[in-house]
Amino acid sequence: MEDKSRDSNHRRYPGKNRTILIVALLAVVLASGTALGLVKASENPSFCTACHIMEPYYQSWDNSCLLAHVHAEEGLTCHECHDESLGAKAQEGFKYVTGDYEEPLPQLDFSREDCLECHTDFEEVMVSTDHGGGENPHDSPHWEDMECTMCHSMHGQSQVYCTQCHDFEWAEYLGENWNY
Amino acid sequence: MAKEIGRRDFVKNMALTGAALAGAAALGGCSQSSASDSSSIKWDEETDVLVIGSGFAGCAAAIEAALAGAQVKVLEKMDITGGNSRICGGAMAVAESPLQEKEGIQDSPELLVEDMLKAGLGLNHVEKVRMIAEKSLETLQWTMDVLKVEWSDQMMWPGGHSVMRTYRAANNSGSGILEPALAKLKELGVPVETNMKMARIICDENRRVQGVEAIDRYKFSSDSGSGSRYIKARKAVVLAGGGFGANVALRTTQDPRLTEAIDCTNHPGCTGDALLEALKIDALPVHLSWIQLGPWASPDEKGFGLTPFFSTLEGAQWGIMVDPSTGKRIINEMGDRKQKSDAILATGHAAVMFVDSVGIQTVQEGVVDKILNKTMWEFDSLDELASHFEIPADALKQEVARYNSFVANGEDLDFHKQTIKMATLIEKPPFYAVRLWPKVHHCMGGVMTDLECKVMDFNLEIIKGLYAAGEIAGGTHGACRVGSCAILDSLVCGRVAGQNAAQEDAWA
Ligand SMILES: Cc1cc2nc3c(=O)[nH]c(=O)nc-3n(C[C@H](O)[C@H](O)[C@H](O)COP(=O)(O)OP(=O)(O)OC[C@H]3O[C@@H](n4cnc5c(N)ncnc54)[C@H](O)[C@@H]3O)c2cc1C
Repeated sequence: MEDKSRDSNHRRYPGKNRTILIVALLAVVLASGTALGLVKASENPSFCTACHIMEPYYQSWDNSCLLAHVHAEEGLTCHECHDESLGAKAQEGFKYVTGDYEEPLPQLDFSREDCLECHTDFEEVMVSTDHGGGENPHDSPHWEDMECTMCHSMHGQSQVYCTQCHDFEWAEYLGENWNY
Repeated sequence: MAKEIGRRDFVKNMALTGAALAGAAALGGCSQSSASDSSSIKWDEETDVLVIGSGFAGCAAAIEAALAGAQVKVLEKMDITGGNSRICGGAMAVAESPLQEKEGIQDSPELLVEDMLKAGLGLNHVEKVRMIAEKSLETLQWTMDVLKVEWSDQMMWPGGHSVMRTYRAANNSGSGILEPALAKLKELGVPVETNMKMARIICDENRRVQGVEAIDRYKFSSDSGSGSRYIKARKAVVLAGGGFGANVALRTTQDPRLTEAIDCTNHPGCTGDALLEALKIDALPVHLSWIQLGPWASPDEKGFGLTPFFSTLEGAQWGIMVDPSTGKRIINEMGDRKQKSDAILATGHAAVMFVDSVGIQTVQEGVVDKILNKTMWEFDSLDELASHFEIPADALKQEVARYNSFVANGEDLDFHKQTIKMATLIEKPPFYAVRLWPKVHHCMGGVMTDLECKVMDFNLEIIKGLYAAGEIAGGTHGACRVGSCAILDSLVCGRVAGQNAAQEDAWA
């Protein structure tokens, strides 16, 4: 019985269905065009400031003494570290629009492995900070594989973890993005 | 940072005092907040043995429990594992060790017990001390066989020990023991989760511990996380959360003298929150007001720093420590930490410790280079040294002459330094001096545990399913912990706790 009525529906409104299909198709094409446009636009870091809460993060990338800006000067953009998938963006956008977010945003976790994806040669990092005297922060007797984020912060002040217990002369010469 | 923590935890501490008093008044009874609602809890995950803290005690417990076949998980609230264990000096006292045998040093567990009781002013829980001393050799062996720890082949002699008996990790840091322990946990498939803070111990109406409420993605810097996670411990929870030396508000409730003005050698997360949670379910506190100051710390650097690598060892052995206002020695430089800290504090200002060019040769390689002109200064004469620290020069020279006569006669008539026979005359310039002012170092107090490391309550009964080991457990060291006995304590008791926890009957 039900099947039959469905059939009859088909027969009764064939033209309307076709219109819906065309409109839907058009919508999909337009939407994907917009999405593509959005994806393209979102590659530009300033796009992120469409959500006002992203402004300080963008500023730290665009013009600051912070590590994010150091990366910017090397030509890196947000997506080098942050998830660039459409799904992630859609989710972020949705959360922003619905107000479902905390302010300030919770700090994201980045592992040592994340950083080492680009800074592949840790030996080189170690050598670069060996000022003699056994005070190399990248070759500490206390840690084998310390998380980079224990000291380095992208969008905020970095903090020398070791100087909680040690006074290192080199720490005094670090840039203004460092607390020690 | 200490200031911030202090304020944040103050309210909590006031609550603690209330809870402890309420507990005392009721004489037991698992605290209302934790007991009453356990049946309604939706557990997010479960394991057999849940270990709180990833220092020596936690790792040792987790390894033993896993080796005994239990499913184990370790929670660590900080961004990194290891607490004080990771940053400590890696020195462990062992009686009747192979190195002592090689050096022909006569020792015994009884003598170690005697030394610990002497420093602890007899307040120590003797049976616990005995257990630790008797298991010291076996524990050393375990670190070598099971953990593959690399120890230096040179022993050292921290103050308070009547003989040389202390092993040190080859890399001079607790990490030399901790990293192998963490590697063992990895090999055993035991997860160690950082940024996961135990916030509450959950037990049923029969005061059987069932698990914990933890704060997921916990950030110590902001004291917040992403929400609660309920973890069921079918067999037991092992508390290995360390001491509370870095929590100014809490430590001043126990010893009001230990204000912010006194620096601390501990890791910043040494705030005692696991201890407070145990007290909230009526764990019996022991000796909480016995908080140790490290007399070998330098006011010219932060935290533990590097000066103690001189002043705890060779500086004390080959040098003397004087009050700069009189030029006189104030204590046996090889005495225990309490004797020395009390003596320095009584003068009201930093003491000056110095050796001559012979003494300095005995200091471990690399140390002097790192501290010279930072916390240590070199002088061509005693006059120069005296003038730098504003010490009356004649009095100082007289005191050095007196001390040298003790060295020559092999007997310290003033303070009975036990190493005087090995000492050399302080006479050959240049002289090397550091300033010393005590810093908060170790909490001797904690929860009451029995010999199986089970936590006891106000009725002196066991809180079923709850263990504690390491600095969080009180009583072992009495009034004063002897140097290099904390690692021993943490490893021995951690292992005992883990072995026993694995044998508990599961409640679910
Ligand atoms: C600088 C320094 C040097 C030292 N040198 C020596 C030495 O050479 N020899 C010696 O014998 N002793 C030494 N000690 C003492 C010794 O290191 C400690 O007593 C010992 O490491 C304590 O081990 P533990 O496992 O009990 O605690 P810790 O190693 O402090 O570990 C406790 C862990 O539990 C975590 N934790 C706390 N609360 C919670 C919670 N609620 N949830 C989750 N995790 C939590 C902490 O963050 C920490 O990581 C030294 C101490 C210091 C500070």
